[in-house]
Amino acid sequence: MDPPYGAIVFLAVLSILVAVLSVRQTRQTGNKIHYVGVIVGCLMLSIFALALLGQALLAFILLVVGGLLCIAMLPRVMAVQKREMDKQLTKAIKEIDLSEPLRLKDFLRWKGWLKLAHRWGALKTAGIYSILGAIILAGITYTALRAFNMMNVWLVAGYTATATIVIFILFYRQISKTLEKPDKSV
Amino acid sequence: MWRSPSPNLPRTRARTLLRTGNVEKFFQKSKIRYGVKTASLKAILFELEKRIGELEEYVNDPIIVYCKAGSRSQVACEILATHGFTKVHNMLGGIIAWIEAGYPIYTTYHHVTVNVEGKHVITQIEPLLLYQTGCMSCGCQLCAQDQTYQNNNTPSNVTVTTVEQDENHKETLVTYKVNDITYEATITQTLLWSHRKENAKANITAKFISTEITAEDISLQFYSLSYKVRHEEYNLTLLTTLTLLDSETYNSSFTIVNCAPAGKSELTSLELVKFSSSVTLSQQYAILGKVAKEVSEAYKKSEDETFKQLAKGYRIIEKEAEDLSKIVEKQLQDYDKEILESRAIFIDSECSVAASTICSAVITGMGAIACIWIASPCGMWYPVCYAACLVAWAAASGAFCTWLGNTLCGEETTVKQLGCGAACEVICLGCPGGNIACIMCSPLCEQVCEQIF
Repeated sequence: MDPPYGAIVFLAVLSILVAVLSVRQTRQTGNKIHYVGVIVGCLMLSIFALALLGQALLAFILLVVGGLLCIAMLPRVMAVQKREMDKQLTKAIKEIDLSEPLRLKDFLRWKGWLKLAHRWGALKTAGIYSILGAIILAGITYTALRAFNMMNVWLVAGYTATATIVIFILFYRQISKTLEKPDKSV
Repeated sequence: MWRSPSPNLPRTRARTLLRTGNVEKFFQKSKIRYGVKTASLKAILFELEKRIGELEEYVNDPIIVYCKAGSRSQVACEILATHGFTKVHNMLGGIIAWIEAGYPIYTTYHHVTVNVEGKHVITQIEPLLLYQTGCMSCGCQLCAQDQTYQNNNTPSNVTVTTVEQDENHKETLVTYKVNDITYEATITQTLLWSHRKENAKANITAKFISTEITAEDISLQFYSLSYKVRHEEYNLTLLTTLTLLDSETYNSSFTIVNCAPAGKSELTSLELVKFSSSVTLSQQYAILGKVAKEVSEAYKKSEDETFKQLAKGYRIIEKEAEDLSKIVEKQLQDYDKEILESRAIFIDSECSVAASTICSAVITGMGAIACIWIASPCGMWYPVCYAACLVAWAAASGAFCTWLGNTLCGEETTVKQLGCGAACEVICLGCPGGNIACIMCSPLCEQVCEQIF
């Protein structure tokens, strides 16, 4: 059987995006740790190229090396991301007056979600955000699968359900951490 | 295999509980002394009161409650007692004490720690029982509101060219263009040593290859040793990757040994080996042989017949690892250097399953880190972008790994296998919780796969 070209091209596009966006983030933050993204992107591209050239064993070896590299680098990348995030969080929370009334347009920015979380708590807000995210993702998945004539309700449901759990965890962590900040303006 | 402490609990529910990262916080009514569970319930401690109704019929039966070390089960006991359970016992010291007392634990998943003291090799084999929560690589980036980055990066002109190739050397150039900027990566492979041996029963091949990848200003070099045995009674594949510290020392070594004896049971075993001391390459294989021997003996002693069958596979690994150690010592002296950190995995399962599983776990891990950058321009939609990226990455890599695993092992891939591979990764996300999560996830995968395809 032919290789799964669709999956490989998709992963290759994501890998190139990783490389480009990590270069951009290096330029923005001046932190060279983001160059790890370039290595990850290039490694992935090399893996796909080798696999397509019939060098499955070498592709597999490279994959393991890439995995080891990611494991080794993950704590450092995470630490940098956390530091950069803290900086942005501090900036964002200072610009918001949580006691201001809620407006619909606020929900297009962090402002609305932070205000909502302040009133309703992080759990409920994360729930609403996840549902909204799930609706968007389900819509995109449904449209994409229809466009490629691969529509399957189980695929849409599975993809949306898994993604929603991840969205909930990420958003809940973010929002609860933001509200715990001692310098928040109330 | 660690038998599910809750055989009567639906797998989907058990998986949900496992995913919460609190597998050790379960309580159980069972005839644990013999490792036979008659009825059980696994629950997170704070859920106990809410789910107490599930144990209603056992209110007057003897119940043994246990956790990892005995403290949380004590709390669980108190909760049970307040709800009218009359014969509740806390297992002091928890499952750790149970293991230390030498009582039987049925598992084919182990952590093996290796200590080398002079000529003595001390191995410690511990059951891999507890769910290890994987920290989600969330990246958690609250992007600034004024982020206006527009992404118009459409890759084009991806080309792979063989620049140079002869019997022992191959240079490949990978180029691609983004926003009119051309990026290049050069992969140089050099065959440093090879070994071949054939007889009536077996065909053995071994290769030692140096690979160098250069992209932009970054260069990465590593070695790999592959050792394959095609025997009439088994297929064994051993693969070691070695990263360099300097010309005299390897920084790390990672070895995967997969052995599939003919006529084996459907039981899969997995042993994670970690060396606490530095060793040379040949010593590493000799020690892995000893580890395999100990694991084999442990399975042999088991009262369970299906477990005893696994012993055969580990005896094969023992023999082959020892043979490889001698080959490396004699023929690969220039590269028989000290390794600072060695790890290995033994897998007793079909080649393609093992290869796909490792590929999926690794590639999904890479996706977790890669999606941090992909989601970075998403602003307040960062969590949505990250999740969408992670799950889409997992789906595509599931299909890719299924194909790669089959190709690597010389097997054909069907459309159904590809679809199932993708669906499984969407559901399990590379099993971030570890192997137990994978075990619990697989049946669910199969059910979903059957429904879809």
